[in-house]
Amino acid sequence: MKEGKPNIILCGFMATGKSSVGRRLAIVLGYDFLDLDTLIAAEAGMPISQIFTSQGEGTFRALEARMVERLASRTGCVVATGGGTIVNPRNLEALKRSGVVVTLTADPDTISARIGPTDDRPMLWGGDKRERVRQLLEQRADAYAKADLIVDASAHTIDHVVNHILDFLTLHHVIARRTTVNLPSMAESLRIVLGPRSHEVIIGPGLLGEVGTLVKGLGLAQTGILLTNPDDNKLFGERLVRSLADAGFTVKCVELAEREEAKKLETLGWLYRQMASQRLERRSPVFALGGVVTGEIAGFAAATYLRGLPLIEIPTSLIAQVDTSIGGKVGVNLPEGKNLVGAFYQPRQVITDVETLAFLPAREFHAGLAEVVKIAAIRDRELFEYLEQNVEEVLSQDLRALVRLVRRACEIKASIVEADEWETDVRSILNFGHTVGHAVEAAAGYQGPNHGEAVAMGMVVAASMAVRRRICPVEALDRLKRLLQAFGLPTSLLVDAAEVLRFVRYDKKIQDRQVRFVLLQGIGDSVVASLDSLDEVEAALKACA
Amino acid sequence: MDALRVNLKGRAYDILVGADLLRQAGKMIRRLELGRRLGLVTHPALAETYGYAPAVVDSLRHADHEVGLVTVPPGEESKSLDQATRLCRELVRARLDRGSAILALGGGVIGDLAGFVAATLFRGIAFINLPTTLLAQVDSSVGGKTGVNLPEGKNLVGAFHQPRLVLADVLTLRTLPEREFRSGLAEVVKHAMIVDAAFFDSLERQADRILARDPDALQGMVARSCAIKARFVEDDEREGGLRAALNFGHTVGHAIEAALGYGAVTHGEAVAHGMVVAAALSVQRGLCPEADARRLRELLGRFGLLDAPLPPPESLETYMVSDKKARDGVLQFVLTRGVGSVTFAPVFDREELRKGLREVRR
Repeated sequence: MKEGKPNIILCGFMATGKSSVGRRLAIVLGYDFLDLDTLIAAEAGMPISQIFTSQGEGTFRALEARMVERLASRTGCVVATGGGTIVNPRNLEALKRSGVVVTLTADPDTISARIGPTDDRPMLWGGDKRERVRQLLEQRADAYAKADLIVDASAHTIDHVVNHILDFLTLHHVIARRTTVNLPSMAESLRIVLGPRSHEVIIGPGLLGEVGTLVKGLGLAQTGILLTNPDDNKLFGERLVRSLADAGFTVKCVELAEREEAKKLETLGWLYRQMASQRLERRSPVFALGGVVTGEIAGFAAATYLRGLPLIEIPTSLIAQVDTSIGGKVGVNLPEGKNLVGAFYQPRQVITDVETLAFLPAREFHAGLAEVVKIAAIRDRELFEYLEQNVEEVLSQDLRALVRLVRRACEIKASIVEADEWETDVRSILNFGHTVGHAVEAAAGYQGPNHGEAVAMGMVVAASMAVRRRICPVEALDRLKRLLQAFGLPTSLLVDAAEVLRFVRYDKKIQDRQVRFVLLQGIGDSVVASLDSLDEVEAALKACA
Repeated sequence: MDALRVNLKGRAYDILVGADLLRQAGKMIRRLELGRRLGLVTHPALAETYGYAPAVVDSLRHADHEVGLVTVPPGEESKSLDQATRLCRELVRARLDRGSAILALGGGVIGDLAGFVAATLFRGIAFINLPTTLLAQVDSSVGGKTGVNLPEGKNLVGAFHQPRLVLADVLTLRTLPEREFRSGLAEVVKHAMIVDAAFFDSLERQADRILARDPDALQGMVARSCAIKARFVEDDEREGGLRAALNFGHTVGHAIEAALGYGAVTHGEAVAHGMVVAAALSVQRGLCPEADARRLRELLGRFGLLDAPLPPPESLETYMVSDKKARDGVLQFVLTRGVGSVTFAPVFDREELRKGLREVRR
């Protein structure tokens, strides 16, 4: 393979979507898009069908081989080849040398239906078209099978096919998981690999004004809805709407209250009716601009209106940016308990503008840092050390430090979510500090410590438990406490231990009398343990009081 | 009992069709290794008048499950967000958890509503469908569409959520009101007409046994019909593919329902007339032998689906052209090449359409 970026070459029968898929891929990757047939026609100075009629297939194939040679010497291109190009082994070889060869397949019925009654496909001239398609497919099957990746394009939408190819390229390190291609300065894009639900998280300063451009390649309808709250709307709404308008989008703006009490089904009933008055269709985007609550309500509305609309998340609080915008958990509360109704629903894109954090009250910013510390503590020693060494930069919101910590936190959370999207096992390590944290919030009647502060206390309790079990060195607990303190977060229980214990008992994660607890084994290392009794928790709670 | 496996990417499930399956529900459900507590959603008549719900509850208790029973008033009005909210709350109070399943015992309304609750409670838990109407058994129980209505329109809110198991007990069809039962037969005829000529033959041969609701005849018919629908669902994401074949008879059918006002004819009666029109158009174009169109009309007639008084063709035309799916006044029609085969074609010519529509009054 040549230096530089390998080409992505799309092969396969006519009408399998090589051009549409190729164009989309090129936009995402920042590559050039080239269509082999177009190049050949330009070289010959006449349409392909005319080359066939005036000079025959032999001349066409010779021209084709010449153009393939020329293409193979380039890099950083997405190439859509002709249906018969790689039947010639020399073409295939040259293309493989220059990059990754992907075949798009489809069954004869789909192909015939897509081709329709046109006559500009010389290879189908003569005889029954459907039969001719079947024959050619059979003849070319061996050649098509030699590709590096084969994707069935008949059963999937273009988006799915594009995602499938990008996942493959990411997992095989052909393309980086992170890119800065086509992005404003200092911004980075992170790919979340979840098959058909794969998407990008774009992180950087000043992105609010770029949202319209950033979502342009997603195939969204031009009319959509913007769900936000009064504060975020006042601060950022106008800039966002202008950016969308410049890109041709019209959105109706609906404000919700960014308060936990708004997270209920009654709010959704009202919201659905606002949506119904907008004549939204299946491709109409839902933009969610705001913090955790806005994201969860808007996300659930997007998940359920018309059985799912494309969701673009634009988180504005630190917790939303580093935690809730990744992983697709959306939902609302019932009077019977928190987050009881909801869905796992992945956004189509997340656009995280770190400059919005400047408007966050200090206490909320610190609360967000608790989630960053959490993710570093359970999985990433390097991030933990970076935080320890850059407390000043983080607290003064140095943009480079913010981009780095938000991106890294998202990356780690993404890797956990990718391994367990529906939270059946490993995803539960994200609950480090949360079992006690939730109980602390509840014990204070949701009037005391905020979520981040409660999680900080919960992490200290869980880490102390691990130290008592002798599975975690005491230095790790000390470092955790020091870092939390540096970020203005509490490290001892500020609520009555007995009350907290009572709520731990009632936690909904209690199943079959066992409490699942995430324990620290060291900085960057954690494990999930099942507890038979709450004695240990009680002891640790008392020790941290 | 007939068993049918629906294969969806990574989530396969069984549809079991047979007589007296409700009493065996516990045994079948135990195999799924769900949590102990289950929620059963049904409507009062099924609980009180026919005793179906108690039979299911008994069977589940024998299989060591605890069951929370919640009833919903019958009728389309129950497919609302308010009812969904109420169900969620009651099921949480019945101490369901992430390992639980929700069972729907009833027709399409119960299935759609309880399915939506299962799709969203605890961010999605297992769903088991026990459809008790013919339409629900052969149509809405296959496909994973769940949802509720808004005042602004039907099915505006919902989710795709595939069941873990479908149990279609054909004995429940014996207590269905006659007109509702016959309405369901229209979808059965449609399934046979679009892909399965042999099935169509057997419907003709067994029409009397079916109308007498003979359990064996019903079992074979429901199983075959579900299998056809399931095949289309497995191809779910196919764009512009065969799935549109399921709309056979529906272009005109929807217009009939809209013109007469919903509820004046059954969905099945409307679709039956729609199929007659589609077949007539196909004959006019020389696509379909006249004999096949006659067979379709005769079978629908035997099932009593062509007796309803219909609106004049002119008014249907207006409804069809204003339909949002009619692009620039061109109607996309599913036509037939004869029993067991469909084809797709746009209908441009108004005179051609009128001629076809006149068929419904013949």
